[in-house]
Amino acid sequence: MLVLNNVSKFYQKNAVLNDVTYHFDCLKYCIVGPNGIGKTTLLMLAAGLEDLNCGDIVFNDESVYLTETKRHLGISSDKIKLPDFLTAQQLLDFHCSQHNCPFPIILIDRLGFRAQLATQISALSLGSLKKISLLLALAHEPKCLLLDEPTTGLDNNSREWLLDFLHQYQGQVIVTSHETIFTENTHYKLVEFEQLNKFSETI
Amino acid sequence: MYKYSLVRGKIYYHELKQLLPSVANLLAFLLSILYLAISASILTALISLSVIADIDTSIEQRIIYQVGYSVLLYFLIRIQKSAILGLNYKHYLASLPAPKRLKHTNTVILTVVAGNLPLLAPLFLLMFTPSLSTFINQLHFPIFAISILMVALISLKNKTFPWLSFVFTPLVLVFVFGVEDGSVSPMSINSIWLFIMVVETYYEPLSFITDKSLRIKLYWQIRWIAIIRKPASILTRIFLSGLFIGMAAYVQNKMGQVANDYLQVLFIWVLSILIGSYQFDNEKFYLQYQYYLNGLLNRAGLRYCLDISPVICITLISCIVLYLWLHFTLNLIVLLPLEVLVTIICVSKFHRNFFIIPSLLSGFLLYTQ
Repeated sequence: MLVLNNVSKFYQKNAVLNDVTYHFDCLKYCIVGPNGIGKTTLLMLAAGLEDLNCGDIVFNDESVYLTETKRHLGISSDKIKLPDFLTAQQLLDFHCSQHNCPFPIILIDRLGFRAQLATQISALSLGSLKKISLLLALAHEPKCLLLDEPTTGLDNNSREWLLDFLHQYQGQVIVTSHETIFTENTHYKLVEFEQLNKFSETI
Repeated sequence: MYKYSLVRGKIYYHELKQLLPSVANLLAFLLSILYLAISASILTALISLSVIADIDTSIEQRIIYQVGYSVLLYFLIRIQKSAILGLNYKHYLASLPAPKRLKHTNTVILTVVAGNLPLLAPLFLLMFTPSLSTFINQLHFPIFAISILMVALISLKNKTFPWLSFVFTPLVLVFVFGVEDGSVSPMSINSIWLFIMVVETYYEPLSFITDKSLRIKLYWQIRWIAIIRKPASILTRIFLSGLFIGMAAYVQNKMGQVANDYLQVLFIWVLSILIGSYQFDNEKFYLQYQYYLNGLLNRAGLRYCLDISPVICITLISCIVLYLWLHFTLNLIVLLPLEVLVTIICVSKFHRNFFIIPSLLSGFLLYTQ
């Protein structure tokens, strides 16, 4: 399970997270809060993609910055700029090679992404970018999924399949979303971002 | 018509201004240190035309000079390809109701501007042919002039580096005909070379390197594709390094002696700054794809080593050329990779002030010589 221990993250003088300690003990979480408050940053930190100013974040008692821990994490966020000079196929090939996992052809078909495989990332539409981002998060079947606004831009079929998929997912799922399908879903424990911070004022 | 040309001209100018910052740190250094040498180095390519035009030049020397001249012109135009064709605004330009002929004319004009002296000089020299009989007797040079036009076309049209024309064919020609001088005429050599170039313009046999179906399994393949998709920076380094080494070779050739140790240290200092400053591109790449790279399972240190490998390759090739062609001493040759590495690390650590430590190191070596 994911645990934040006295985590602080500052951008210049603004504290996004200030001495936050939280244990994500349940299987499914939905983090809510106003735009720009730091929900995406929290996911990036939890995936070990950004450096902390203080504290530590562990998954199953191992630091999220360790390579072995990263194998068990999957993140999808629009903030992660993907190498736009590659095709979607090349990006997925590389991802599967890194994680020693099979090419996620079933997921690709469920998301209706097969036709876009040969397209360069820079030429993908917003919805297709969301799909490739989700595929990269899901392909290696991580123990913990960190999804930033996972349904934004998806077509109806993909959206319904994703919600169903996440509902049945065996690992931990932490999403940030404003959508009622998550916020009013009893399977997801709702976490107000403001409540995570002991002190949310500017230093 | 005028307005369309104006737009193309403005795009060309704007794109060049965008290109400059990527090499601005390097150029600022070079221009401040070697103001006259850089200007003079551009003339070396033109001076080599006299060797190419001479019908008595040996086959081996002819091929080296012709390929060298062509590669320099290729890089000069290739660096400006996006600016010449307005690639970043291609959809907008395509939407304009300008006739195709006008669009092509503008492309030709901008290519001439981009290629300027190295592109026009061979054609200009043809105008001074004294008679038709001289023209026919020395047909190798008009064929070379046409080849130069083909180089300009390849620079703009082809997606990949023309390995067949610039590497494989010259090597085969040197090994087959270079051994027995006089076995084949300069005209035949140039005709074969021109034929290969025409073939490569319309059929890129090695284009599979950038093929979208290339399976990506390892990190270096990602970096390789990134470099191929935006090759301006690495090509600038290769172009300037080639020009700089060529200039030194010409000066040595004219003076008939090998540069002394002081000059060798000075030369290695400039070359190391020139090559090592490529690290600015790697740093830009790290910043651009920061989160994606942080999520990869391989170690950042390993990625760093892989990312500097193209620069190390250029350095090693330069070392071989300096040792075999310019007869630099072995003791000083080993300095080049060392100084390049120091420059690379300094770029990562000190950014714009990257050249201070390599310069101090060279200063110390000059002092101890």
